[in-house]
Amino acid sequence: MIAMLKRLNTAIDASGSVRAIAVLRITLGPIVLLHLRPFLEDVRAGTFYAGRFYEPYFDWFPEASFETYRALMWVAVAAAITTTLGFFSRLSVAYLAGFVGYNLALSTLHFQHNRLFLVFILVAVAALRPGNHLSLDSLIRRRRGLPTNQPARLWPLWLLRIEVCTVYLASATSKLIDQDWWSGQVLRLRAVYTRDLALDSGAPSWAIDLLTDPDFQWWFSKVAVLTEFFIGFCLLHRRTRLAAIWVAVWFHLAIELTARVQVFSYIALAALCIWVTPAERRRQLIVPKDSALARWLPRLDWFARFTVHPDDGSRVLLVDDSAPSPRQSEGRAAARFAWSRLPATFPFVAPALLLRRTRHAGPKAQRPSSPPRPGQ
Amino acid sequence: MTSHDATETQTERRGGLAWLLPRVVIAVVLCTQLVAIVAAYDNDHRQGGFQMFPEASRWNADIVRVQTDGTRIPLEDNWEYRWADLVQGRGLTYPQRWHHADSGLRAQLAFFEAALDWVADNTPEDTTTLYLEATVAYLDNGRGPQTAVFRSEDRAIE
Repeated sequence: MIAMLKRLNTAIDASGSVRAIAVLRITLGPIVLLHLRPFLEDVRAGTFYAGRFYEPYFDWFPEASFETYRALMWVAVAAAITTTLGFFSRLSVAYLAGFVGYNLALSTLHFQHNRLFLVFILVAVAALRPGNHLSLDSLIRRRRGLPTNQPARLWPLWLLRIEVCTVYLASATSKLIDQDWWSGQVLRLRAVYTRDLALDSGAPSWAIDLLTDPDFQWWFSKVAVLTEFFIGFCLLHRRTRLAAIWVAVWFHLAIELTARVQVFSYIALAALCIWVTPAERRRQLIVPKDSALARWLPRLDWFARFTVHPDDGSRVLLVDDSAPSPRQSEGRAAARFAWSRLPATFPFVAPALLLRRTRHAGPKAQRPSSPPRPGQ
Repeated sequence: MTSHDATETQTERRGGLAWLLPRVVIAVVLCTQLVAIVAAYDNDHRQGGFQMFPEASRWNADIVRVQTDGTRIPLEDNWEYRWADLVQGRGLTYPQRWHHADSGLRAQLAFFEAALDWVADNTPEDTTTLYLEATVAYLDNGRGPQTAVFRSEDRAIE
């Protein structure tokens, strides 16, 4: 326990790359616009929340007039665009955090868990130098000869990681202690109530029958709750993190397909960026010049985890300096590893890697005898 | 934060506010979050509790306008207003239909009760209604139906 606290104390002062946060920042613009869409439609129609029933949390909370609210809304739209472009990045994200939070606090009707989750993400991203990478800000700094891609203090990232895990664990715990949820009653009834709608939208009747079956839902509800616990706990540990991310991807896609959850799925998927190790170019990859890896890896390595060395040879060689101890692998194992660490291919390649590791009872990686060089 | 992450980052010794501020922020945020999660179990709207997809409960409501002489008139019979114009979102727009209580029954009924009061307070052209009364029927995760009666505050009519 004391060792853990000492490590945490040290970690709070750490700095590192926030490249992955820049990827998250890019996604936040469209997500915020999607979140604001119903409020924006009201404003465009000449009304807003106070034009009909609403319920303030506190009488003293400052409420904007329609004109002011409309102006704040349009500034938020502009800030969402500049957030994605990375122009005045920190100011833009901070404004979005402020406006989305203010809008949330105006009325109890505005409260939804996914909106609060969005505020958490925006606040943390604003604190993490979001314009350091992949932004007009960094382009402008480079043109001016100023330093770019500087490391940022990472404590907001650690805090956000804990908050995200807390969300999964709080949600899972609430279902675990609710007898109706744990017994499958809640999921079964939701399937029963939406049965006609699902059939009309083309869902196969056997699937509906399955989802409305009490025995199936008795098991499925436990799988759902334990999946949330699995994600919440396993994201915290390095050895289980990739498995948790992989499960989370499909978990949120499944939710998006089967339920209306506003922007929750998009935020949760985008927020998986926060689990990328905050370091860049620590994996050296030597690849044949004409291989698919040589062509695609520079385009798909959005988190900048690899340094690619195209080579005239025919083998793939990987040295992973980002592991606690450097490791080296080659051939198909190295290629598979590289594909599994690219966000676009990870959901499809990661299971093959996991299965292979399980079958062979551990990775075939070994420590490098000497640093690799292109052409070696 | 794991030991693996620690190997990937640089750490420098800091003092003063740069040392203190993050520790205070982390402690305050985490304590607030934990309190919010626990408090949400005793809160109609479960703010900060992250209790997602809490129930499969359903509800509907039949609203009448009770006149000063005790006459009960269906809400929109010869009324100067439309409920759906005054109350929108969160499943409140058409209360006469059966709806899923998407944030849970307690939250839904709290919203509905507040909506009744708000409508009673914000319909000045209605000069005959003393208060609104709603008979709410609900299925609590399939159990029921049960009923409850809500009424708004008395309106100040001349």
